Amino acid sequence: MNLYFDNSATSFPKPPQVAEAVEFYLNRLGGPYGRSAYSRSVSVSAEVEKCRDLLAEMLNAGDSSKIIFTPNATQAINIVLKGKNLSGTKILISHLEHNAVMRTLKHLQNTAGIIPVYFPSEKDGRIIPEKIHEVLSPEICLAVVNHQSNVNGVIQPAEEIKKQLGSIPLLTDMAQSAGKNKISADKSGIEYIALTGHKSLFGPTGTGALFIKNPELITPLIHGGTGSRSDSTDMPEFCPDMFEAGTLNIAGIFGLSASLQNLPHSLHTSGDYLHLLENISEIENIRIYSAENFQYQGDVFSITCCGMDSSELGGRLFSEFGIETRIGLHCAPAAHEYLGTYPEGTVRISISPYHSQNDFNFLYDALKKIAGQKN
Amino acid sequence: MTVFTFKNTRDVINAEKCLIASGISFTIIPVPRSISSECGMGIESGFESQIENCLSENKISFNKHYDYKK
Repeated sequence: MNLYFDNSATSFPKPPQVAEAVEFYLNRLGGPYGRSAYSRSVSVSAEVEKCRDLLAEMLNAGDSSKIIFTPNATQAINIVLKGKNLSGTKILISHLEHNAVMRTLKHLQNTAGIIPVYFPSEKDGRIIPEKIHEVLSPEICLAVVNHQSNVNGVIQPAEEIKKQLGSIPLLTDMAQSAGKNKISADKSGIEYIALTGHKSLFGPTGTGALFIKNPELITPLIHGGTGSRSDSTDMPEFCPDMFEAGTLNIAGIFGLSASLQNLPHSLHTSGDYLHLLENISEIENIRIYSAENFQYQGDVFSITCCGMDSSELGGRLFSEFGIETRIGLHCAPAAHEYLGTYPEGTVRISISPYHSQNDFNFLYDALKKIAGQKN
Repeated sequence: MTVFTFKNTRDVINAEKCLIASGISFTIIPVPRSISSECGMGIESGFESQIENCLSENKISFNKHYDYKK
């Protein structure tokens, strides 16, 4: 039985090859990326570049050198938001943004006078592409979209959104959706894609990446050694080096490379997942927060139980049934405000391919029992 | 022997990949300090023109240092 329903925080389990690859690097291979010319270093560098190629292939990004390794999606987002000159401009954002975006924008609001404006959206937060033109203005210099909400799982139509934005650059936060809900950087023209390795890609924590279509438009966030142009105290002006100062998380990248080559096959069908959502939404006293249309539903949704605090509901799921979920605001207060669940928050349930229909049934039965005994 | 240098690690690894696939003999060496500090790794080989063709076909940019002697 897999009772871990907190995969939006970090996925578990991982494909076994991930730990094997990390162990191989730490215990048997070792060595630096790109700093030396002996065979150990060449092998390490080749594996890092292979991982970069795999990410570029996944995003259909064309030139792999435009994939930058970062420690997480948050830093990838910060590179774009702080590396562009956005002073005094408007930034178009969705209603379902994570604090990785919201806190960075708040900082820029205070220090650079940027003004956030919102995409027109449905009640579940899904952006309405055909209405985007109503909010466009010449002051908008960037748009940011959380590709899959980490609260209700709504998947945004990123490629359609980019089409409507025209020349306005789009930053797509794929922290929850990379590898699952595919988008093509090349075909769509999306300028920036931020992702993390430890959630939907099943890699280790501390891994992430950023795709930058036009690197020359971004000032690096971090400065330091790269192993290239070592005679100069200026940062290199080519990719990926200009954004990769300091030693990379090589052990993590080995694990990420292994996960990308061994993504798990799902133990459940989309029909099983739909059935779970429908069943839960019919439980008396339970309210579900998910996409209005299942076509746009990602692998996470939220629930509340009438008359019961989310911490009590989440606590009982664990103490009485061993079910692990995440309670509260999920680092997304703006999304909760939009969905009407602020400040109480929700219980978030995030599934993975390692869940079977039996796991879903167990979760459903547990919720039914708790909701039925709420008094 | 000719030494080829590259702007970064990624280009060296891509060069290695295509040279192995082409069956051209080469050695990855630490870039001699007298040549450059571009990157820790360079490629040394006696098959200058084959390497040049291979790298050009694969759109890998490089610098050439003729008749380098250790």
